[in-house]
Amino acid sequence: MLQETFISQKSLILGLTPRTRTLAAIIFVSVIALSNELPVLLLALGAALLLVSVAGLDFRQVGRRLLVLSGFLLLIWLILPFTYQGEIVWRISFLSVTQPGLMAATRLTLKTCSMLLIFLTLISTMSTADLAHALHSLKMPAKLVLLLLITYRYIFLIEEELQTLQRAAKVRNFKPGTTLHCYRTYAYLLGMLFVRAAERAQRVHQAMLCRAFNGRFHSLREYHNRSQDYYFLALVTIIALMMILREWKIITLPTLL
Amino acid sequence: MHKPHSAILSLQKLSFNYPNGPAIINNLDFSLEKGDRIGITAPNGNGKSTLFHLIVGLLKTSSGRIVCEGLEISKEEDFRQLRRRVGLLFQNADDQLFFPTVLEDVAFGPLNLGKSKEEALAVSHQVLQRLDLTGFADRITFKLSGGEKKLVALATVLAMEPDVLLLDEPTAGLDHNTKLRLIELLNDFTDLSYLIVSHEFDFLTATTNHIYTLENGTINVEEELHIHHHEHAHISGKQPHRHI
Repeated sequence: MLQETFISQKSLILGLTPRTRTLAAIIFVSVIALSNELPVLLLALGAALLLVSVAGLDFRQVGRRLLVLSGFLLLIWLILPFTYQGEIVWRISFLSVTQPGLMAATRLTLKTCSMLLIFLTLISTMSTADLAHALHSLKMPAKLVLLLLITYRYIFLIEEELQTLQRAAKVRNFKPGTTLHCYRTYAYLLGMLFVRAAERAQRVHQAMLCRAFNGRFHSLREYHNRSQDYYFLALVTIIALMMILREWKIITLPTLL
Repeated sequence: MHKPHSAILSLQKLSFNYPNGPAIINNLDFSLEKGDRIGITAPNGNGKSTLFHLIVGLLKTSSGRIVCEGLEISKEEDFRQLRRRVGLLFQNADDQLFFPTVLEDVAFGPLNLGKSKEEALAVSHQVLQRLDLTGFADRITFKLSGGEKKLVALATVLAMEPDVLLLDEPTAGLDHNTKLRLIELLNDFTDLSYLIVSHEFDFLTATTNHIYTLENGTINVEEELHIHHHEHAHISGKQPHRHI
């Protein structure tokens, strides 16, 4: 089953409205994505770790998500240090590890980890429906919001269809393997899934027409900021500003960083 | 027998076929008047759903006229107006519920009709209350049971405040209790006219005043079906049983 693991967990973050959380995540992530200075990225990771601990998420679940990421990071560490040109730090027969290569890999690692942690605490603690409405209140185009909402609604049905098809194959003694027969079966299964999804899409569109749908999206939710929302956004803005100013070398961060 | 102008909905010489296909609806004449509660029964694949889709303009007729209170409906804009008054309940409720929560889904129609957020919410709550679904407003639509989905889908249709309901196999996949509840609800809708397609005779007799058959693409109004009761005797007749 598809699951939204972090929603049901009790967390201080839940006191903030989805809009505040989405906005904060957007600010953080865009600043991190565009930063390159090591102290800035360390500050970002620090802020992300602080968020995770304040939010009180289940550390094992968070660790599991980071583990998924580590495969991707490993690949980067296997390639980047050896492929950059520059001052050579270490030589292993014909391979040489360069200083800029190491720096690039470090930066990427810091960036991805802090972004993932920020998304885990701020975004994955809300349901996709909440996220859609938050984006709508942040003036995201209605069409994209509607697309997100409807995808969220029907992805479960498509998963159910897939399970039905898989069950139908299983009861007729189908065993996955590396045979042509197996690949053909999977191709048919996938094809059938697409056909069913397309047909359902048509029926859903008809149902929407029957209810006078004209392309506009109306949201019923309203978000009212409370004082903690303002405090949180102020804090996020201050940290982001510090990061930007340090990136542009206008200020220096404490010697710790 | 039906005066053409008093009818809410009148179908005149309606025909439909897919390109290069046989006629699915063939010269169909039918009219629905205010307060009519009509059942239509037909074998599978006999164009029942097609007929409903033609009425609300989801499919284009090959020939013939659809007239609503004396006005001919032909353009998409006319059908858009018609869909406010004629609500279609789909056979599969999952096709009809596309928002994560029940309340949002029910309010979708009224909001599209240009109602303000407050009005839409008021109508939605009222409809949910009428269907005894008050506690369902914040439930997640895809986590409802089949019967609950059907009732919520009905709520989304009723929130458009239609005069006519078209129900496409409303009992498909419903358990006995939900069926009974649906019968009770339909009998309470004294201000609505409706047309039900179903092949469950018991359900049709409990909810409609006339039952017709759709055969060879046309509704035969002259040959109304009547349910009648026999008395007869056979072995083990004392045990509760049914005849199909």
